[in-house]
Amino acid sequence: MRAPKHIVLFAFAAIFMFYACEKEITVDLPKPDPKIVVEGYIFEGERPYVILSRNTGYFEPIDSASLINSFIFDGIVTVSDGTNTDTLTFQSAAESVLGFAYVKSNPTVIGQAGKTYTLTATADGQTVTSTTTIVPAVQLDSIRWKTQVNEDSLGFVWIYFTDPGIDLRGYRIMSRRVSANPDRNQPYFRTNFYFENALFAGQQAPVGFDQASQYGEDLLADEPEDPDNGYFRVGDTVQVRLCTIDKPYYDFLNSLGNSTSSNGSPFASPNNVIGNITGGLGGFGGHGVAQYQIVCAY
Amino acid sequence: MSIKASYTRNLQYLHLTNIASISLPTDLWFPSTERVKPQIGSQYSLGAFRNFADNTWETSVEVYYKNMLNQIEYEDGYVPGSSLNDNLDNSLVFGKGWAYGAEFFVKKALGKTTGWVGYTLSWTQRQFKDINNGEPYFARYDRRHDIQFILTHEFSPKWTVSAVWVYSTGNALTLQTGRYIYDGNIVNEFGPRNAFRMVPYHRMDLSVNWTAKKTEKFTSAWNLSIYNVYSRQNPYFIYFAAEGDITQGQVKLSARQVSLFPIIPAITWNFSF
Repeated sequence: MRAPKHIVLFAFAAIFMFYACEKEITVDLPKPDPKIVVEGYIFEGERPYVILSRNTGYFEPIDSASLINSFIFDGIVTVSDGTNTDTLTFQSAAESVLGFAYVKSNPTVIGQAGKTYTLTATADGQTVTSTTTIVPAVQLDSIRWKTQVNEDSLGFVWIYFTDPGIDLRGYRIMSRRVSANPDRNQPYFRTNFYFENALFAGQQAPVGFDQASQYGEDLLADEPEDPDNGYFRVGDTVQVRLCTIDKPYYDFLNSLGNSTSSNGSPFASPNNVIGNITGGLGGFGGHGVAQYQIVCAY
Repeated sequence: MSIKASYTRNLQYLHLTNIASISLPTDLWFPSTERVKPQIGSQYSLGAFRNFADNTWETSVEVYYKNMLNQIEYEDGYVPGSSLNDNLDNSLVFGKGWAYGAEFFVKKALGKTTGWVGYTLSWTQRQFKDINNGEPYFARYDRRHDIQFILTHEFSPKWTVSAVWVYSTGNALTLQTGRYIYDGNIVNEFGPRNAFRMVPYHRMDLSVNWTAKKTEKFTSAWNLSIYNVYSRQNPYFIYFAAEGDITQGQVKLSARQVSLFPIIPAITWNFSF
């Protein structure tokens, strides 16, 4: 009499343990409208450079072949400053992190404060346009390096600058550590952060920062150990760029940041990045530049 | 046969919003503040009610329309924790909603076999200036069809058997449709708000009740019930898993659905004295 009762109880428990509660499903996602993605930059004193790519469906495989295919090599790009127009072609470009970009070898269009630039890109049977203005750069009041709390040789670089309080704009801080030692040299300026002047218009702002993450660092499975923990060490030579950007480009960077920081999080609400490219995705940004170099010392 | 009509106007000072678009049904309750005005709901309904065969059968049909103002949603791109030094209600956007539908109901109230069937056909939409480009979209919990079926049969004073079957259209989600690469980061492109539907939810529960002893002093009854008899894996939430390593140049994305309750049998002994 006892044995069958136990078996019955066991059977009950076993029945629902055989069923897994997670399974792979097929989700029928509609394919997105094919669009051109423009990543365009024009820094003050430099020629414009543009990277073109395309969007892909969500379930398309991500492998080296599809990554390469997502870039557009045969587009036509023009940038105009109102007087001159340059046609950019895809070639090797030292200023681009990828090593390639749409540039012109002998450019007539160079970034100048106060000018408005118009970009047109044609690829895959589509044409997109964008405009951006180079907001005049703001010079730093001072720059210094300070150790962080509980550190004796590692710290942040601090910059102090005053917002002129004449318009709504964004600031983008970029930095790189230069060094004769190839292990410590960061070849490209990377962005530390960007913010708008709404909260401190017309006032001085102190901004401290450590190393910016290098290109693709988030995608590497195993990041190399950094003995400095991301800080700048005493003796490092650091180049800093305080860039001014116009409000539409700042809004784009802000929505881009929201989107990438919430990648994969099940708790984030969805947002579509709002770029400043008419007819396409991405952003074209003019940057006013104030560049400084500091050797970290006490 | 009787015809009834009603108008209700409600003000509600507690607001519900959910953060997650594709995943966990995380619900957050907000009180009304300076920025979050009380919700105002106006509902109009009209129904016809009729009983048949000396009140053995009750039937009704009702239609309704509801208007909702001062609805709240989290703004696009909101991530919890991003407003640590800011008032949470600065991350909210405001809009309106409306719902309409019809409810059909048939009930057998008398006899050895009793039960009822209810079917609701409804639409619930919302419209916010700052969401979905200002276009109306379906609410997360918009349920096109909702069916409830309950049947109880009394074999004898000691034995009763009952069955329940529920069905409802799945929740609406916002899913990514595409992606692109910008400055070394993968950027997701989302489709229209709440345009994707999860599979419908349905399950059947069975129950057998045996009244062992019933006296003035002591009643004892045994109940065997089985929840989700055919063990349907109803979706709880959907997430996307990435497998592989991008440095090896191979990453595969797959959609995975998590369910909560498979078949759950239970034995209960009820007694009272």
